[in-house]
Amino acid sequence: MSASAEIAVEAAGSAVVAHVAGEIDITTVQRLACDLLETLGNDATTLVVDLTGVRYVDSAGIEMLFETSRRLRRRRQGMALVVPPGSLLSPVFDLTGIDAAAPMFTTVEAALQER
Amino acid sequence: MPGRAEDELLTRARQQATAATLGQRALAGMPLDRLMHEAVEVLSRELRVDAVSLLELEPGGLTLRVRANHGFPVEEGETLELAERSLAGYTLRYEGPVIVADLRADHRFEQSPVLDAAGVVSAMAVTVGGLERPFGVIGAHSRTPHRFSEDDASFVQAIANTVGAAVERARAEEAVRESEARFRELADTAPALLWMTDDQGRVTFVNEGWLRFTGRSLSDEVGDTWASSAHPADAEALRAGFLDALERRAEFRMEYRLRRADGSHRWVLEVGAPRFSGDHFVGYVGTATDIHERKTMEQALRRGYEEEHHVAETLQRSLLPEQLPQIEGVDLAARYLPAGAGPAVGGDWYDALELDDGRVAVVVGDVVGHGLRAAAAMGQLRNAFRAYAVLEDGTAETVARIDRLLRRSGEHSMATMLYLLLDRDTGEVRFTSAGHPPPLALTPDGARFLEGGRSVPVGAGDTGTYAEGHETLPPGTTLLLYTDGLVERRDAPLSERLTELSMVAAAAGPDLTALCDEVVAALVGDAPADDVALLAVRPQPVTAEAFSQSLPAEPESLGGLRRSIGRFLRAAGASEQERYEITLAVAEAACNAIEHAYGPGDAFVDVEASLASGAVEVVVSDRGAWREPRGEHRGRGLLIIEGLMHEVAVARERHGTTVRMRRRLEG
Repeated sequence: MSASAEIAVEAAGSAVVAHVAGEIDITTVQRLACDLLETLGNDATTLVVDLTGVRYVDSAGIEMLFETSRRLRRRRQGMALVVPPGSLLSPVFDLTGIDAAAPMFTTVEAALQER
Repeated sequence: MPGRAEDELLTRARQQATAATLGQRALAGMPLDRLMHEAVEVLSRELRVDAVSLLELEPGGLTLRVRANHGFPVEEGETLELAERSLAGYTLRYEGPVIVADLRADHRFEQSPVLDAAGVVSAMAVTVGGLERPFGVIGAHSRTPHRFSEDDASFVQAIANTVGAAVERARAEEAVRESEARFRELADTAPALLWMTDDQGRVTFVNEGWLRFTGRSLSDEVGDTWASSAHPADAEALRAGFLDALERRAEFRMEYRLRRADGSHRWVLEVGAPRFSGDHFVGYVGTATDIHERKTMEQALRRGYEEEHHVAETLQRSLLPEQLPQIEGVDLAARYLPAGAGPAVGGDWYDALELDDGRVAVVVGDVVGHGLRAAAAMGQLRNAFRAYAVLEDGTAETVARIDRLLRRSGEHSMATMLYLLLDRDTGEVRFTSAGHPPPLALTPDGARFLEGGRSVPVGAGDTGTYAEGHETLPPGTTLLLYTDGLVERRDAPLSERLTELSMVAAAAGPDLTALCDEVVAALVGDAPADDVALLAVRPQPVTAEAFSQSLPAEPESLGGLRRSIGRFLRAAGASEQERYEITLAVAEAACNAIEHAYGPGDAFVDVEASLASGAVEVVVSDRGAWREPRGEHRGRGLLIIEGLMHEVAVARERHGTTVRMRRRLEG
């Protein structure tokens, strides 16, 4: 059975919050990358990627997050990641140094405030 | 001195015995001529007279024929004039015994040349009765004066009556023979097939029409030949039906196939009626009528019926999963039995699929109604279920969407269904019953029905609200989902049938296919009155001893691998975090093999895992050449593997690459 990932988008002032749910792996990563980039119009400043509902991220998913951050930076837009405390995903994010790609927060509210 | 009365008593007793004996002989079928001879012999002996004669009144009533004679100077078969005022003439008119003490002195009679010639002095004569007119007369004569008593008269009358009855029966038989002969004559010119039997059911006659039809000879047909020309498949029933009728002397009618002269068979209707001669059963007469055209039309009609049944059943089967999907970690078995006869194929269905989140969705349903429409509606429902089950998180939402779809479709279809979602890892189930019988859970602690989630059928009319039942089932539980055809029966209350189901299922062995077979055999046999669908579901017990899986080398395999290795790790006692991290490492290794080790084609990646000394060891191997990571994320893949596992060894061979990983469990 293949994996699936969905996003639900929410506007928050000049920021856009993308709530991602499901599994991010080699089979879902391309579609998700497109969705995330389209989510953010030219007038928005920041994309908050909420990974609270994500159950799995593999190396392809981490690569996708790095790549998305790079593209947004080229468009003069920022990105922030939300990973709740105690998430199963945290050790892998630490291991791969993803905080170099985007600042990390434990809640969406914290991410929006900090911006 | 011996009394005269005593003498008379003895004589009367002897005469009565003699009359009785003659009567028995007559009944035993003694030929008429011999019986008549016997009669005159016993009369002359018992009455101690010189001459006894038995004369038959010939048609026309003017002559008498000598049928039997003792002591008279006449020949048997000789014809005598019947004088009106002779003793015989007088007796026939008078019809009673006539006693003459002295013939010459008796003025009732004219002189008879025969009696004069014989020197007859005393005489007695009685009439031999007949149905419409007397048969004749018996006379006893003495050349010396003889006193005939009343007893003598009774005795002679008794003998005469015996002869009269015998004559009557012989005449009746003759009449039957004649009428049979006439019947045969008629029968042979009739277009119908006619036959007759005797009282034992032996064929005594078949007409020309019959012989032409069967191409057999009369000698082939006569005798104990009943049903010998019938189709072998019909002969037994035909014979049994005839013997039954014969025993009861009843009429019968039967349809069967009769072999024609050319070897083909034609349907005939045979009607037989018992024949009686007086009260006496003498056999059967019957006809066979060719009803082949009607019968074949009836059969064509029935075939049309069966045809619709067949089409509906074919549609039904084509809409059911050809074989249940292979879902890793779950054993599935299903049975579908169409209703026994008639176009009664219903809309029963079952299905199973694995959702993206790893839960297993199983469903059974039953569209109300039968035939093609129900089967088609079932197909629509099954497709809707497959779509909505993926979209919706809970069973109640999925069923509610199906309900809305049915009510919108305008097809007025209604269905019951039981939808159950199973989490293989935890044993948690969520389920909704839309008017459907409850699923049976066979747990290690016993069998019980899951009663929650009760709701109305889908498409029932008003907006349905659908409830959801929740249970957590212990490992080793088998779930049985079924349609009402398995348990509903007119002659037994449902509760009783459900009890029977749970008892049979609980007693069945571990094999799911055998479980389905046993349940079906015990509850409905092989020809159920209604359609039956049955689905058995059991999560495979997970053991940490050994894990071995061979995956198609394509990215879509990875989700399944993650779930199965996750179950292995759970059984091995790994914590949630450990499970996540080891699973990720294994998936990264497998993904590397899939992405780089193979070109397109039918190739596999092997994953083996084991638990030893508190450590999990996983080996991922392929049969392609390892390639150096290209791009950053492949590099991250190896980084992740090495970062999450305590020991990692990559062996790159000419024929393939093996990644060996180890991690101690903290628990």
